[in-house]
Amino acid sequence: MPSSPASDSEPFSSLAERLQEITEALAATHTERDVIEIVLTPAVQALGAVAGIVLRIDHTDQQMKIAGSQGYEDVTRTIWQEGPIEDHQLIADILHMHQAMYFEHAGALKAAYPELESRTGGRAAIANAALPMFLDGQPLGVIVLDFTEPHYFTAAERRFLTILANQCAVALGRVEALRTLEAQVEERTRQLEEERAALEIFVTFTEAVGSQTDVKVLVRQAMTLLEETCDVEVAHVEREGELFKATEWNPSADAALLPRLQRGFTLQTSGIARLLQQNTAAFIDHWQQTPLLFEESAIFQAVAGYPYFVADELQSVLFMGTRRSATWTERDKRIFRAVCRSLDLALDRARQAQALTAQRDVLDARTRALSLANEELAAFSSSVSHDLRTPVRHMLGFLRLARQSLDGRLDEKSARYLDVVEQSGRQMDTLIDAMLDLAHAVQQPFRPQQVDLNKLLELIRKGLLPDLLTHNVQWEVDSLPSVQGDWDALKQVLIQLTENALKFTRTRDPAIIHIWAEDQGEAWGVFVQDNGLGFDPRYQDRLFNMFQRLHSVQEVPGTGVGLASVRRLILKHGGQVFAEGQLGQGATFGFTLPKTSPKD
Amino acid sequence: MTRPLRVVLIDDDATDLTLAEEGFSQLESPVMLTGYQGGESAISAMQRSGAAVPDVILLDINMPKMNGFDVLKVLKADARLRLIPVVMLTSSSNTGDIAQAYSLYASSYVIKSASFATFVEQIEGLVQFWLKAQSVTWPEQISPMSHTRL
Repeated sequence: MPSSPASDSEPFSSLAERLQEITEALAATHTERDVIEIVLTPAVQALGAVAGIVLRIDHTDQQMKIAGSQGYEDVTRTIWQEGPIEDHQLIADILHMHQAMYFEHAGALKAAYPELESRTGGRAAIANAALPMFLDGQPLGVIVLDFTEPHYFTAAERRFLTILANQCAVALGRVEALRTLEAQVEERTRQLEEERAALEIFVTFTEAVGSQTDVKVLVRQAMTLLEETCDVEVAHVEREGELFKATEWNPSADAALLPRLQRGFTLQTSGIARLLQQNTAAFIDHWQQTPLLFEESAIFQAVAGYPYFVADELQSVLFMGTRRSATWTERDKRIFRAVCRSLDLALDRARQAQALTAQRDVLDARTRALSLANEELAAFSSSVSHDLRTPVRHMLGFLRLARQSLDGRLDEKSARYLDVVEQSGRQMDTLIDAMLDLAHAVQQPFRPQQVDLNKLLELIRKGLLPDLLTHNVQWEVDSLPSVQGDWDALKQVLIQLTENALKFTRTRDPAIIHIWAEDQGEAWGVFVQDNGLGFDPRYQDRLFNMFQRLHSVQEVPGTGVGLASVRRLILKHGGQVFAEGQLGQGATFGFTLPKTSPKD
Repeated sequence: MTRPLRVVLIDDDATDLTLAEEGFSQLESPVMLTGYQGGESAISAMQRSGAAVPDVILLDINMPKMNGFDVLKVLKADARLRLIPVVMLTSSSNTGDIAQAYSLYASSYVIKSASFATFVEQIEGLVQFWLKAQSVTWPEQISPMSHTRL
C-alpha cells in the first residue's frame, strides 16, 4: 500500500522551508561530500526514506560513480552500483528523458527493469525515487531515494525532489568550478614558481658568465641550468682528435650511456652531426626513430645539441636529451638556445681572458728578466769602474815610473813601443768611461717634461763643446720645437750628435752643421746634418750598435758607444733613430720623438 | 811648520800602495806616508794607546772584508779618530758611492786618475790643501789621550 501523502509526507510549505535551509547550507559548502550530505540528509528525513545515494557521471569514461550515500548498511549491495551508464538502463533512461522516475510499490521497479537485480546482485527497495541531475543541459548524475515501505510521492514531494536535484546539480557544479579554478590557480602558481626558479638560475648563470673564467665551471653551470629548467639530461663533449669525449655530464647519467660518452664517438655522418657541423643548434624530435648517434642514446626520446666552434673547427658540443617527451617544446628550445649562446659568449671571453693571462705571464717573466738584466748591468758597471780601471791605472802608472827611471837610457824604438803601450792604456780607459756612461744613461730614471730644444741646443753649443771648436764651424740652426721628454737624456742625445758632427768635420773648412726639425704629425723629427767624412751606407744598420765604429781611432777619436747610447735614450722616449750618409759626403743623423709622452 | 804631514793610506791592493808611495815620493813637500793593506790593521794601529794619529787619512772604497765605508763608520764612531779628516781615494766614479761617503762624514772624495802624472797632481793638491788647513793635529801634534768609544 502506498503511504498517503497526508500522513507520511509533509506539506510543501514545510518542504519549502527545508529547501530554504538547504539553499543556505549549500551556499557555504566547498566540497562534493558536503553538498551530497546536505542534500541527502533532509531528503531522506523529509520523505521518510530509509536511504539515499548520489551517483555521478565521470565524463572522461562515461562511468557512473558513487559520490555519496546515506542509510545503506552496505552500499555495494544495492542495485545502484558503479559502472558504465549504458549498463544501467534505469539511470540511462532518466538521464536520456530528463525525467525523474518514481516507483511507489513493491515490484514496480522490478517490473519496469527486470534485469536490474540479477545484474547488480542487489535487491531493489520497496519504493524508489530516481531523479536526474543536469547542469546547463549536461547530465551530472542521479539522486536516488529508497524506501522500505510503499510510498506515494505527492506533487509537493515531487516538486521538492526536483528542486533539490536541481540545487544539488548547481551546488555540485559550483564545487567543481571552484575546484577547477583552484587547480588552475595552483597550476599557474606552480608554473610561475618554476619560471621564477628558472629565472633565478638564469640570473645566477648570467652573473657567473660575467665574472667566471674557468671553462669547466661555466659549462657545469650551464648544464645545471638546463637540467633544472627543462628536466633533461645533459652532457658536454669535447674534441679529442676525431672523437668527441664527455668532459662533463649530469650526475644521474645512465650507466650504459656514460662509459660510451667517455669513450668518445665521432660526429660526422648522422643527422644531428650534420646540423652541428653547420654551426647551428640541432633539435631532433622522435630520436629513437632516427639513425642514432650511437646505440646507448636510445634511452632518449628527443635529443638536442649546440656546437661550439674555435677557429672554424667544431671543438665541443653541449647535448641534452629527454626521456619524457618525443618532441622539444618551444620553451625547451628557447631556453636551450639562450643558455648555450650565453655559454658560447662566456667561453669566448674565458678564452680571451686566458690568452691575456698567458700574455701577462710572458710579460711578467720578461719584465723580471729585464729587471734582472738591469741589476746585472748595474753590478757590471760598478765592477767595471772598480776592477777594470785599477789595472789600467797601474799599467799607466808604472809605465810612467819605468820611463822616469829609464830616463835617457831609452833608445828610439823602445820609446816608441812604450808610447804604443801608453796609447792603448789610455784608449782602454776611454772605453771604460764610455761603457760606464752608457750603463749610467740606461739606468737613469725617465722623467718626461716639456723640453725646449732651442734652449737645450744653445746651452750645449755655448758651454759644452769648446775643445771641439778648434776649426771653422758654420752653424745653421733652424727653429726647433718644444718636445715632451727627459731633459738630461735629450741633452745627452744632442751633445752626442753635435759632438759627432764636429768630430767628423774636423778636416772641413768650413765645417757646416745644419740642425732642423720636421713636424711628422704624430711625432717630431730632429736632424743633425754635417759635411764631414760621412760613412759607407752599407754599414748604416750597424752605426747604432755598441762599440761599432766605421772609422779608425786615428781618423776620428771615439769609443763606438755614443750612438748606442743615443739609440737607447731615444727608444726610451718611444722614438726611433736613423742615419743617412755617403762616404766622404757628410751624414745626417736624426731621431723622432712622439708628441705624446709614452707614459701618457 | 815643524814636521812633515802625516798621511795614512788604506788600500787593499799592494800595487796601488806601491804606486801611491811612488807618487808621494815625487812630491815637493815632505810627507810621512804609512800604508795599510786593510781597514782592521789601520784602525787597530791608530787606536793603540800612545800612537801618533795621522793628519789625514786616505781611504779606498772597494776592499775585501771591511770596505771603505765600514772603515769610515768605525773611524767616525771613535772619539779620537773621528777628528781626523778622511779623504776617499778611489777608482769608483759611482754617484751612489760619492753620496754615501759624504753621508758618512768623509771630508773629500777624489777619483784616482788613470794617468800617473794626473794622479801625482791629485795627491800634490791634497797634501798642499791639508798642510794649509787648520786641524786638531796640525801644526802641533795632539797629546796622546786615552780614547773612548762612543
